[in-house]
Amino acid sequence: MPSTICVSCRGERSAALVRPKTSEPYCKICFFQAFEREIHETIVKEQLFKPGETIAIAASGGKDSTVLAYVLKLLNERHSYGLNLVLLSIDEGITGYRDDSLETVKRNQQQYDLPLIILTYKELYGWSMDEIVKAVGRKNNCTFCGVFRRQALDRGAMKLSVNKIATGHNADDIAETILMNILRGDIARLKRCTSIITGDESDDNEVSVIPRCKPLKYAYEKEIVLYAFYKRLDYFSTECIYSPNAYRGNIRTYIKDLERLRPSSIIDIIHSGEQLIVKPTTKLPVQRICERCSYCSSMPICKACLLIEGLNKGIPKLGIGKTERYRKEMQQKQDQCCNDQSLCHCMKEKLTVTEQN
Amino acid sequence: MCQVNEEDDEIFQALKSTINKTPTNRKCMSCDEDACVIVRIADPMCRKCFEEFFIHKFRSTLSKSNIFGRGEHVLIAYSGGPSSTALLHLIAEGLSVNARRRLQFQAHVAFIDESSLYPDAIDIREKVIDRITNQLHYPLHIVSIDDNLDNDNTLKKLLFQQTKSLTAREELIRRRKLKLLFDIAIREKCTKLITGDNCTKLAAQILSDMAQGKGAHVALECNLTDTTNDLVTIVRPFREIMSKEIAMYNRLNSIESLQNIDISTMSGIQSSIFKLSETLVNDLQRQFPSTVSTIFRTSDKLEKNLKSERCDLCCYPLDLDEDQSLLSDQDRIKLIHQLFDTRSDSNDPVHVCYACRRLLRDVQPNLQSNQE
Repeated sequence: MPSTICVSCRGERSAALVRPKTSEPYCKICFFQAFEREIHETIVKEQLFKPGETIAIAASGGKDSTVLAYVLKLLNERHSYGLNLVLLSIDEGITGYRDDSLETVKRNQQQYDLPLIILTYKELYGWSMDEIVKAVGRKNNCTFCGVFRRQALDRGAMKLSVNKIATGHNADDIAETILMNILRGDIARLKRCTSIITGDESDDNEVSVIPRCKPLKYAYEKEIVLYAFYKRLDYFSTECIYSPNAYRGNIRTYIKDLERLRPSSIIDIIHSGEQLIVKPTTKLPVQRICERCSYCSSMPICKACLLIEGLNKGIPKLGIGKTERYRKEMQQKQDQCCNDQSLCHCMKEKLTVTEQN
Repeated sequence: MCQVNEEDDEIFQALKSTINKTPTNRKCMSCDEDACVIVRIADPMCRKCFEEFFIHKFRSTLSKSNIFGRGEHVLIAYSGGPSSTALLHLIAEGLSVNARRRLQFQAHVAFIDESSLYPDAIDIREKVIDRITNQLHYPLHIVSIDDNLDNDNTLKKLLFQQTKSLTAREELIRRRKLKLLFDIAIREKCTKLITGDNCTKLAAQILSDMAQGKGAHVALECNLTDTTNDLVTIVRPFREIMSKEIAMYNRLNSIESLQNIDISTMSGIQSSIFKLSETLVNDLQRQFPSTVSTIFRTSDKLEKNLKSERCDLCCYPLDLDEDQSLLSDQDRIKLIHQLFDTRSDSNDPVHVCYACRRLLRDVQPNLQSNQE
């Protein structure tokens, strides 16, 4: 077999793979080094972490978060960031999907020797995803899951009193989100989806939330898969049983096609996204605090509270489609669903706040 | 990763509910005549009302900001395609003596002849001369795409031998055409350049630009008036009109466009970044009829980058720092001087933007230097 020479170590070892980012032949060892070095450079350049901070790694058991946990632990030791790492998982309660992936996270916890905390939708909101799907049907369930997970991560992070959450979003995800936001005309999200840290002091839009960062922002999905594969990392790869997501699928295919034509496309899209400046005159939704659960929201009542209300009252369509009227009604009769027996999560929130005090 | 199921969002619900209905047996939405076309998403219109709607859209875009001065010399970029043919037709009507609110500028027409690049392109030049000079009697300026180059084959060789991707070929031609149009406009003392870009094309262009790292220029490239060049302002009066509406207008008025070959003719939908983007936009538009306008409105909310330092290749403002944009490769510098600079002997340093830097990676300049 003719062996191509690795471009990085110049012939010490023969190449084992072609780097998706540069289309150059690399040997395994040099690929690992390059991949890890790039993430390290991102972390240093963007000042993602400060020494002594506690960082929660949002771990789903999938390839991105597994690689993130592995690399962060490795770099933390190698370059002495002085970070305190913990794994944070959210159990949506999807039988046949999340229960299996959580097994992977539990194994990762053993392998990497990191503390792990799992929060369930059931205990946070009173509803597991399986129950929600039973009530709502297969059509709108991802709305619930997505809205709840965002809050759940923050709640988990508050419980653990961490300084930051690191998520496994990779370059492909970010490119996809940029294009999605253009196609949906979501100018507010378009503005913030490229920033590598959201919710910190420099960001006055999202106050009172734990900052999030994306250390894998510049890492290609293909390289993450290669890294996980060659390092023999233990990860879980199955699509969620409830998610079809055809619209996003169009964009994903588009990005894969672009990558085939010109491998740098993904980074180019991110560069484009970073260059976009929103007109100062454009109306953006004002970030405020939900009157019920004091989580950040663009409306007086946050989406999660609205969805929960709908579920508890047996009108699951509430919060999907036009809901202006309902929101106003809810504002008027505020505390109705929040008697002490209620499972409404705003009650839980009040409890956790009092516990902390 | 999936934050919300996008399809079930309010926006998407609204999009889906308005899928086209057939025009048969429907009445025009403004008068009671039988409808013959469907515009926007599901509005039936009769011929008369459609034409009024179409012309109004065109004229109101133009008169919105009083763009043209009385007697100003204006260059119309004509390609022979449906959009620029309809554009010429509308301008000719607007300039005619009996027009209401007559347009007051002096029209010139420019045609960039690409036929030297393709063996099969024939007599397009004659057709253009016939149409513009003999029928419309406007001053016509035809420039060949390889104008100003020492050797007739230079551009052809560069495009087909030294450039390795269709994306790069398309983009080089696009940049060169714009450069030539600016040159003609300056030479003929025109201070405005009107192009027939419609919003369907602009929407595809936005995605294509994003994918090539040209995000910094999206806002300028879709604006009604584009001040990329200090001397010549680009005006896009069709920016609010869909390609479908142009096709309907052309058909109702029996306006024929010229068959013309371009670099991506006969290539598949996955052959270049622009083609891919165009396909995506058209596919989505079929399922969600407000795709094009949503993309377009998003770009309207973006701030224009008006840095005074310009890229020497695409003429748009630079989006890189001074030292990052400086080109060091001598062969590539020579190439840019040759293709994009009328003062081809100058030795000024060359600055290029992020997207053009990427583009130049697909071009091999060294074949150029060892020619006879």
